[in-house]
Amino acid sequence: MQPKRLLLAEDDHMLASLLKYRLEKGGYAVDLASDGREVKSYLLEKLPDVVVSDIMMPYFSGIELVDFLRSELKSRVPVIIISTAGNETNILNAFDLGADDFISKPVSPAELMIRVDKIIRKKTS
Amino acid sequence: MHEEAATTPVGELRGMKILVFEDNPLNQKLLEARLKKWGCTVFTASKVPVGMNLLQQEEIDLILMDLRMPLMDGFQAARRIRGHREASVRRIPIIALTADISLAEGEKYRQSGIDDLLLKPYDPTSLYTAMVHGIRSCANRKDKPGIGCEPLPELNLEDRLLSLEYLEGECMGDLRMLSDLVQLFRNNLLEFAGRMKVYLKERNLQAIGASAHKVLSGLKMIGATQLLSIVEGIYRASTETGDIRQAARAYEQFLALYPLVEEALEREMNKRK
Repeated sequence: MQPKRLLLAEDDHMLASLLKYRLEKGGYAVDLASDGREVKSYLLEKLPDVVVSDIMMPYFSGIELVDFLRSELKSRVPVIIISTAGNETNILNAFDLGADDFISKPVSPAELMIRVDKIIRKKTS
Repeated sequence: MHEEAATTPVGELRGMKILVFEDNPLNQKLLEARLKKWGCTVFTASKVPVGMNLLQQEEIDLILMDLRMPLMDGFQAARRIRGHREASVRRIPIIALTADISLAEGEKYRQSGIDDLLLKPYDPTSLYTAMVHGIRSCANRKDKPGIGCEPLPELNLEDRLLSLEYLEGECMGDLRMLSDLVQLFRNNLLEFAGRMKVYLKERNLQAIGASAHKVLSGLKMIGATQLLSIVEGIYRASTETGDIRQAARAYEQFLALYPLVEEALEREMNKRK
């Protein structure tokens, strides 16, 4: 079976590397994007099985990303938003636009993995 | 060079251990060649943390310091040396070297604990004289510890600067991964330091907030609690209170503490090799 592909959009390279490492150990194929432009050109080319995106990103926020996926690409690819304390309104906006789940910083890799597993199971069942 | 040998008295500096803070490779070489000719043993540091380590390891007699170095300027480095926990280090004479005439005026350099300042380009004889003078007057003040020795106030250097246990656990014992992440952490923090300098100058509060925000995760991951609270302070000052002076003060603190965290990080990683 092909591993599930995950797009991780995170501009903190250290956090991104740690999450990629753990997700790959967990059996996922992980592609990284470190700003909104990369995210956009990636999504225009192919759709992953799940997207994990930081809410604060240069050029293209997590919210814009959700909107882009749902409104422009008409895609139902599940999105998990990485958020920061104090960003509650933004998370509500993201849910409004069709985000599926969120996880707060500091991100525990184990918790993220559980959430990704769950969302993939839900999608395939 | 022949001329130099003729005009410069030789002898008094023989056997002296000189630490040179200088990041320009050409200047390093030139200075090293000259000092060696005078019989000195030369240690060179292109970054402040490296120099601080050398001060621990070697009994340095005199410091020559370029005032412009990456990450931390010579004034801050001088203050750290004057605030060092070992009295023998605090007393080492410091001679600053600079091409910037505005730094030579006024008392700023003395206030940071620098004893003397030579304006580039300087001739070898003035360097020699300044060095001899520095070493002699240091011998005279040996019985008077505490001169110009104000330790950094707010920071508690006895506290642990960081803790790698969390990150090590997340790396599941994979040392290579750990060292990759530590390298990324360093890059992030250096980038942060550079950006802050620019944004403070531009008084761009929004960019300051975003830059501070971006390094918070990393600081949490390596358990650098003191540095974290400084950066959280920068974040709050830029996003909540809009106080640019507060942000600038916190940034100064960051610059003083970061090299220590980097040293500790290096020690921790060496332990694991």
